[in-house]
Amino acid sequence: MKNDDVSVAGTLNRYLRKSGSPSPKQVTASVEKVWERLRPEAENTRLTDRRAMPRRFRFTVAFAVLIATMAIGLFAAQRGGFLTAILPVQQVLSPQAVLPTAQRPGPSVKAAADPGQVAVVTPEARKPEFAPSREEILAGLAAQIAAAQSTDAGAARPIQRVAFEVASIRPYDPTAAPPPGSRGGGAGGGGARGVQPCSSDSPRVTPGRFTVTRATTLRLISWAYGIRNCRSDIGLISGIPEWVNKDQWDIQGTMPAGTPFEGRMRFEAMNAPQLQGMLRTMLEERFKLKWHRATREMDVFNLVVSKPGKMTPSKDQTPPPDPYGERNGIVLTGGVPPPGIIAPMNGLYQGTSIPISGLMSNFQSRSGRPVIDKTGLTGYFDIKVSLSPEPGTTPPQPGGTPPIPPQPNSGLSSSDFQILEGLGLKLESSRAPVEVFIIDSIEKPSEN
Amino acid sequence: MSTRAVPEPVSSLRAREFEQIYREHAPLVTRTAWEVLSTREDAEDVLHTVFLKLLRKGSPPEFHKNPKGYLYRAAVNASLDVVKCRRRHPTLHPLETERVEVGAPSTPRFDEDMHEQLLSAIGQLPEVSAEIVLLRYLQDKSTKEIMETLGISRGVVAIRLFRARAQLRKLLKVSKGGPHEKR
Repeated sequence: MKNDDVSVAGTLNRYLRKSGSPSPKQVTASVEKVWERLRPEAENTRLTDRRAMPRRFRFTVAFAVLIATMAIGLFAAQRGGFLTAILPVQQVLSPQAVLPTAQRPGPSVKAAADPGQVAVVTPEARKPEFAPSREEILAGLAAQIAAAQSTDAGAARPIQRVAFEVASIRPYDPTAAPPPGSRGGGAGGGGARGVQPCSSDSPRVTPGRFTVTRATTLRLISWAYGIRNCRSDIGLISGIPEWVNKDQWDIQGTMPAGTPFEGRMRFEAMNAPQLQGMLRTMLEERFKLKWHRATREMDVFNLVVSKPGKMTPSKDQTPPPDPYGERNGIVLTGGVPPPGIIAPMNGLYQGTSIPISGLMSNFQSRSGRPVIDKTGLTGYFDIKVSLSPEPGTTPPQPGGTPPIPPQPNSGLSSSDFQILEGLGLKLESSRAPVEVFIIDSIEKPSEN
Repeated sequence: MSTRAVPEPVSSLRAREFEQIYREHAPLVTRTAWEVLSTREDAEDVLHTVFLKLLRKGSPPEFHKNPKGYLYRAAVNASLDVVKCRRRHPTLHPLETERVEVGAPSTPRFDEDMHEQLLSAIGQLPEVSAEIVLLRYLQDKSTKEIMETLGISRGVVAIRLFRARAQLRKLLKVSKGGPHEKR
C-alpha cells in the first residue's frame, strides 16, 4: 500500500512538473496583456463586495429559505404519511372516499335532498316523486331545512374512512314484517312494482344505529355521496343500471362504539360525515361500487333575489338543535314548528332559523334541473308565507292549471311559485358547469 | 476663498481599486495556470477568466479572508476546467504555441501524454484535493504553505493528500512495478 502511494507520488513528481515555471518576464508580459483586455470592463464596473449584502435583502433571503424549507418538510411529511398519522385529514383516502359534493368546495349544485323521499311529518303517507302534493312539498321542505343545523361551517370538516361495525343488507320483502326499529310499513308494497328510482321509507337514525327500509340503491348512493338532487333523469347521476333504480333493500347498520350521534336532521341534510362515510364504505365494499365525478355543462336554474327585503333574518343566528333528537321523532306543538323546521300550519308556510339551502332543495327536486344559489343570502331566516290565494289569482287546485305558469320544462307547482314570490325570490334559467356523479360499476350486494 | 478638492471620477476609483488587486495577484494566477496548462495562451485565458469573474460577480467573503488563497484556488479550478474541456474536445496544439520545457526528456511523447493524463485525473478529484495535489507536486509547497494558502488544517491536508493519491492510483492504474521515485 505504501509502495503504491510512493509510486503515485513519484509519478506526480516526475510528470506533473514536466513544464517548468515561466520566467518573471513572461509572466509580466502576460499580466499586462490581459490587463489591456480587462481595463475597459474594470472602468465601467464597480467591484462589489458580496459580504455587504443589504440587511433587508438578507432578511428576504432568510425568509424565503425558511418558507421553502417548511414547504419541503410539509410535502415530505404528507408524502410519507406522517401527516395522516397525526391529523385526521383525508388526502390519503381513495377517490371513492372523498367528501360528498355538498361538503366540498367547487361548482357543485347547492341544494338539499329530495323532499319527496324524505317526508318528515308524515313519512308513511309519501306519494310518488313526480306528483307531489302541496303537503308533500311542504313536508319535504321541512326535511330539507335540516340544513339549518348543518350550515357551511361543517362543510369543510375532514372525515376519516369509517364503516359500520355490522351492516345487514336484505332485499325488501313486502310479505315480511318490518325490521325492528324501521319506520316503514307495508304501504305501497309489492316489491319493485311502481318503485320510484330514488325512494325509501324514512330513515331512522338513533345513537349507534341506522335503519332504513325499502331503499333503492340510488337512494343510498345519493345519501352517501351527498347528491341532493336524487333523480336519475336530470343527469346528475349517470351510468345507472336498471336494478339500481328498482331493487329495494332493507338496511340496518350498527355503528362502532363511540361514534358521535349525528341525528336524522343532519343525515337528511347530507351533513353527517360519519354516517355518510359508513354508507359509502358499505356501498364500495358490499355493492362493489366504483365511481368518479366529472363536470358537465347543463341547463340549471339560478335562485336569485327578485324583491330584496322579503327574507327576514332570524334574531338567533346560531344553528338550531336537532328537532328529531335521539328519539328520531318530531312533535309539532303550539301551532309553530320548532326552529329549523318549515311546516304548513294554519294556512301559513312557516319556520324559523331556516338557511337558504333548505329552501333550494324543494325547488330543485321538481324543477328538473339543478338549482344554484345566487341569492348571496347567508345565515338563518324566519319564513312565513301565506299559502292562501292572493286577490286576483286563482287558488291552486289539485289537477288543475296552476295560477302561475311554471317555467318551461320544469315540474314546479303553483305552491312553489307562491313560496318563491312570497320570499322575494325567483328562478332564472341558465347554463352552468355542474359536478355529476358517474357510476363506473356496481354489483348487487353480497350476502350478509 | 476656500478651495475644495475636486472629487476623482467614480470610474477612475473603480478601475484603480481593481487594478491594485490585479497587479498584486495576477502573477500568482498566471504562474499557477501556466504550470498546470503549459501554454501561455491558456494561462492568459485563465487569468482573464478569474479576474473577469471577480469583477462581474463581486468579491465573496472568502476573498477578503485570504485573497491569495482564493485566487490561487480560482486559478487551479479554472485551469482544471480547461483540462476537462481539452479532454472533452481534444485539439491539436497550434504550432506557434510557446512551451516552456525544462530539460530534455528522454521520451518526450510519453512525458507529454503522461502529463495530460495526470492533469486529466487530477481534474476528476474533488476541488480541494486537486488544489492540494497541485500545490504539493506542481509548486512543491510544504504542508505548512498549503495550510496557509488554502486555510485548512494540517490533518485535512494530510488526509486529503492521501486520499487523492489513492484515487489517482485508481485513475491512472499505476502498477506496482511502474515508474516511481521516492520523494
